[in-house]
Amino acid sequence: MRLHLPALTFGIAALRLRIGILFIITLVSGAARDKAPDWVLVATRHPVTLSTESCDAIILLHENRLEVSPSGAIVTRSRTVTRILRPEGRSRAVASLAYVTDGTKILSFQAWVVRPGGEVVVAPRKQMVDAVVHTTALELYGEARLQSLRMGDQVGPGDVFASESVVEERGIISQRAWNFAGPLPIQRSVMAVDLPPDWQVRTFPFNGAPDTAVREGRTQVWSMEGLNGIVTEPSAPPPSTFAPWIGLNLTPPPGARSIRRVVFSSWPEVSAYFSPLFDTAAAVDASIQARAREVAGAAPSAREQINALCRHVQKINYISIQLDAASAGGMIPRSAARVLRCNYGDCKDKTTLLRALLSSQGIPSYPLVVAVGSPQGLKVDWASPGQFNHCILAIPTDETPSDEAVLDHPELGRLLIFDPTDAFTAPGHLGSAPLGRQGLLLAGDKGGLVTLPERRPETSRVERTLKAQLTGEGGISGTLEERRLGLPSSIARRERRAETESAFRSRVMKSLGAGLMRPSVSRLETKDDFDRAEFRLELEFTSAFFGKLMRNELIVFRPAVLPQPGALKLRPGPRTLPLLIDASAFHERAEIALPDGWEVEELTTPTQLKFPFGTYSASSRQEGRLLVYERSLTLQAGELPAKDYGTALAFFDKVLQSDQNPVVLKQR
Amino acid sequence: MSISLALRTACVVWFLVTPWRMHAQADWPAPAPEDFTSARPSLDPEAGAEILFYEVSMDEGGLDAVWTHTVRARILDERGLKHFAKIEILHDRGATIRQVEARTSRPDGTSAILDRSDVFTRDLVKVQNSGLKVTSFAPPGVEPGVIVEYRYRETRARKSFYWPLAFQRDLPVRFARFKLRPAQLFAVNVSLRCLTFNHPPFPLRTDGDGFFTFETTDLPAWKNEPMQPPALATQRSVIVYYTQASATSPAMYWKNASADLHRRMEASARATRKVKALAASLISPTDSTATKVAKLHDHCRSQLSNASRDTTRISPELRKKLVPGRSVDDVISDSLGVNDDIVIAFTALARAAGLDARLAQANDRTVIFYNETLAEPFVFTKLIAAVRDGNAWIFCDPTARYLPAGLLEWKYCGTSALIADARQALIVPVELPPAHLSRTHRVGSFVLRDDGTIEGKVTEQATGFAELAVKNLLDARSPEERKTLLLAGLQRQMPEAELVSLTVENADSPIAPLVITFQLRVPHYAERTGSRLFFQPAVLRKGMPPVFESPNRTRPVLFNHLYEEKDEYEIALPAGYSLEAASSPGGLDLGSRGRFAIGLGYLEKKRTIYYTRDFSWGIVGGGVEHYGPIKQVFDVVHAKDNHALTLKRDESASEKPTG
Repeated sequence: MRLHLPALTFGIAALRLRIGILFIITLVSGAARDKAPDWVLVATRHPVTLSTESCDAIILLHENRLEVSPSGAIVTRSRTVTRILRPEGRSRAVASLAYVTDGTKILSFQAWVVRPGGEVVVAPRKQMVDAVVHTTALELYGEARLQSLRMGDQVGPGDVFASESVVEERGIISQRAWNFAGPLPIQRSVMAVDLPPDWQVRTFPFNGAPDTAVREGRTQVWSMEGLNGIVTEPSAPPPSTFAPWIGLNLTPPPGARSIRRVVFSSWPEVSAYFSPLFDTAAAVDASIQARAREVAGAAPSAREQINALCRHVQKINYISIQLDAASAGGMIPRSAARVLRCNYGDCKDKTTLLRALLSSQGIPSYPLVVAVGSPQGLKVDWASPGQFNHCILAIPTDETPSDEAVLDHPELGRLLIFDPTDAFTAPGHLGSAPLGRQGLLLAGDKGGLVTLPERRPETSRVERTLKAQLTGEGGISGTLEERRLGLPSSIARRERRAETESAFRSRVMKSLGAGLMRPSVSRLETKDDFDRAEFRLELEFTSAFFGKLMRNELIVFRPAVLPQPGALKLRPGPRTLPLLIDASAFHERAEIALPDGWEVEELTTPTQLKFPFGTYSASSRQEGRLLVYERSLTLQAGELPAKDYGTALAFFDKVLQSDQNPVVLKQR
Repeated sequence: MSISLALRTACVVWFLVTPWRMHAQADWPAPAPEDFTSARPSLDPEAGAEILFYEVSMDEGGLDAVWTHTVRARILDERGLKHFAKIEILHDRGATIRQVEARTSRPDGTSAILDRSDVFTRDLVKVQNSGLKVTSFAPPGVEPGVIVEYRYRETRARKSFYWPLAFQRDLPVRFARFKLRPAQLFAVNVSLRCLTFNHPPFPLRTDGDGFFTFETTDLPAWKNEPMQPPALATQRSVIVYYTQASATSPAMYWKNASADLHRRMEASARATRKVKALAASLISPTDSTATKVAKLHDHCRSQLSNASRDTTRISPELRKKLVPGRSVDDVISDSLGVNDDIVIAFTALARAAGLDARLAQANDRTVIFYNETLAEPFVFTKLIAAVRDGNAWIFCDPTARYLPAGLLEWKYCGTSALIADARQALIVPVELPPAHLSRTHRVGSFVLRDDGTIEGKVTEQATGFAELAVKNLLDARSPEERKTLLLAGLQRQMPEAELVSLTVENADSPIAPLVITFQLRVPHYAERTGSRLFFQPAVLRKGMPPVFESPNRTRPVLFNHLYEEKDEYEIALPAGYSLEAASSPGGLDLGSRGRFAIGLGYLEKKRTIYYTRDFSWGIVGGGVEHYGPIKQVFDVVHAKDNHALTLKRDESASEKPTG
């Protein structure tokens, strides 16, 4: 008799089937969890042509792909594949995604570690850190953020770290930049754009970047191979002046009103776009008029009105609030009336307030956007407002001989440029922030690029006089007067205002202590003439340990009591990048009365140096019972090619060594 | 919408808004005229701003923990602006900041009110669901001469049971108040305690609303000074906390604490079979107590991975094993544990070796000094071990990887430790190690060239705390990073210094001594004139700043530890130069404070200068009145370190100097 077991048989089979399916699912899903994307594996197989001797990691792939939808939304897919070469390279196993909260949606962000044996470790999402990115220390609020995934503790030499982010954004400005190179060597760097059929892309290549794209179907691809890491050296121009990069204009079809995208093809277009926004913000109301009258109503001339109002806006607190990034909010000021009421604002807010105050007194002015800290970096061929990071003001003015901060505009005439964010520099003078060679004047249809003034040594100088008496025991007492003009006065003013009286005194003592052991100061005064950009320091000092007494036979002392400003301390060794030099001038005269019974045995070695970028002289002589020591250093602003670095090194080396030269007195 | 619904909606809205409006209007009177005109604060005439009043009211008696913060400050000059131009309130993600209000009042009676739309909140940093948020605002109209006021309510994520309240701020304060209504705890043997530091004791009495109040006046700004005692020793503070400790005498408290520690030791530091076997393999029966302790200590610090160290790399699988209360057997099997595991393992091994070894707890003197009347759980916090050796105790911390047995980290020395004991309160002094146990010894052989360059080989060794500091700095760094760090240190003194080569031995070895050898080159080391060279024989002391720069001091001086420095250099002189008017700076008689001796000699045959410097500092510090004499000692030592010698070019020398 056969047992009737169809149900049981079916049940066992079904069970087996279920187990089998479960096993397969587990296998498949397990395999999927442990697998890195194909593009990672492709990148690891790409031949490496770069030398990896002295680097701790190398980037095998550095890629950005933009997919533009017909509505104008842009999806950016960024991929990076890094091979760790040495233990120090562990710190490179970081995936970073910079974004802004307004108008941006993060679609995905992942990272993997691929070991040489093929094992894959996926970065757990719970390890992701999302943090604020402060654009300045005085930012009250901003929309810039950074997500990061770190796997440095899970990688070692030979491992590959890969990351991918996909972001959708709907900002207004339809221009993008791509830096092909970075701090690490990059084997393959790619920028790719996939546009709808009726869109156009225009390329602006710089520093050897490819000017034409390779077509891969609908996608246009710019790529470079075998890029060495960007070297950073002190006092060098920014990477944008020498490292390859491209600017891209992504232009929607003409007449497409539904697409909220803006592209600029010339600088006057940028001016025409932003000028109305700045004009609106600078509207004058009753509060503006009242404040302008209160501050400058009694000024006898237009220039004095300008000075008074400039000075007033300098005192407005600097606070940065960056909102509406998708609508280029970072480039649009708040209303002048609001800034006045709050008594705070960022650079464009303060500029706008000043503009409104001037306007209420019948004085026109124009916003001027500049690139601070990037003196040579502006690429004129690519009209993109993203190349600028600071806003100041240009004010038509009469001829004032002492003004150094002026430029001549073919239509608007002589313009005084003024930075209301710099609280320590008077109108007419250039502040401490290097403004670059060119700026963008927002003057409607008269706007465009303008050439900015450069600093000159004669308007940025320090003059020092020392008069002292030396004793037979090596002690010294005397007076020191220092006069700072132009930029040095701004720096001294900024330092002095930030300090209490006792902190200032301590700093002066410490500075004197470099040349005088354990000095004491009996009188310390400062005189600040802000409008003339002059800052004076006067002090009376003593030190019992100035000269070194050598067994009562010799007194040895350095007549260069204080360090000289402007002398650069350059690092020895090869240089690959140009050296940027700022203009300055320094002159010092020291008169030291010799003690009775002592004669000059040796004077300092005279030094005389002359080069196109600078001159230096130092010498000492005896005039009766006075030891007179003089030194002068003058530097011209400019960019010294890397091949001349050795000359600059030798120059500054000799300047600094000259300061160490002693005078020797011998007892009669 | 029907009329009744509209009416109801309006009532709800009114109900919700009213507390805000009442809060805004009722209890926020305008500043008094004299607040604007009172003289510059006598507490600190140089202050750029002054806090006239601040209050933190901590109400944890209800459902939530609600803290209300109120500040009123006067801006005196532009230096004071930076304190109030932007206000940032940091809080964790579980907390909320509400009802932020700010007002700026001018002397002319006008004022500016913060607009609610000008208050911003965002995540400062976020990891999964935790992180920090920041609520920020800029009070309007801030300029010198105004009075700025702001207040806000903070609803915290959880209630506290411990409230450390420090009164001082970075600005002078005229009046400060803390109010606290703690949560009611209906538990047996739980009571509220209050400790007051640097102020007459505050009585623990509530007002009609159930709040305790702590207030004080005329507080100077808190400014840090180098080598200062812990904040609790000098700063006006209050600590309020719940404790389960019964209100017994300090003697009884510490007796119970010793007993608790003893019970913990009995439960955890057992001499199991595995422990006994390991101990037997590490020591010899004829070893002295000190030798046994040293061997067991060295095993624990070198063979057991300490997961609590940030430089220890542990796989995720092993990390899963690190559960609280692991047995000693597991710790030994895995060769892995956290700090407490390793101390307990050492204690178990020592007990298995037949020693009177016990768990102990050290006092961290950078937080608070032990005081026998201060019977509180936070006095002794760090788990260590103590082994009796005759009448003395050997203190061991096997988690301090680079310190031998008998030496604790300096912050646990010069104070006391609590030792486990079943019957008595056993609190024993932990002596400050003598200076010779923390010694830096440098030997250098140099050549001085006629162009002023000096170059040569230096070997540096260190022991004790000096060695610990360098090993902690270098142990996890690559050779390149070590070179960068050491060169940076040398260049702070001598900007032109070059490290031609560098070898670091045993930087990450717990046992082997640290040895650093480097080849140094310093162009322009000596100053040159036409016929002379001037140089400092204390080569590696050149360019060092004085130890104490400020002429004044407001708080006592407290050195971390006692120490010694020994330098021995030989400097070969360039041909064609002879010593001129040479003299030695001489030493300094420091009496009981230490030793400073200089030896300076010249061997004509070898044309070589021999320089030795022997410095030992033997006192841990002193009161404010001692700062002047202490500073003077270091100033004189600094001057003697800067002593220079002169070389004059021989007239017979035919060639001028090179370079």
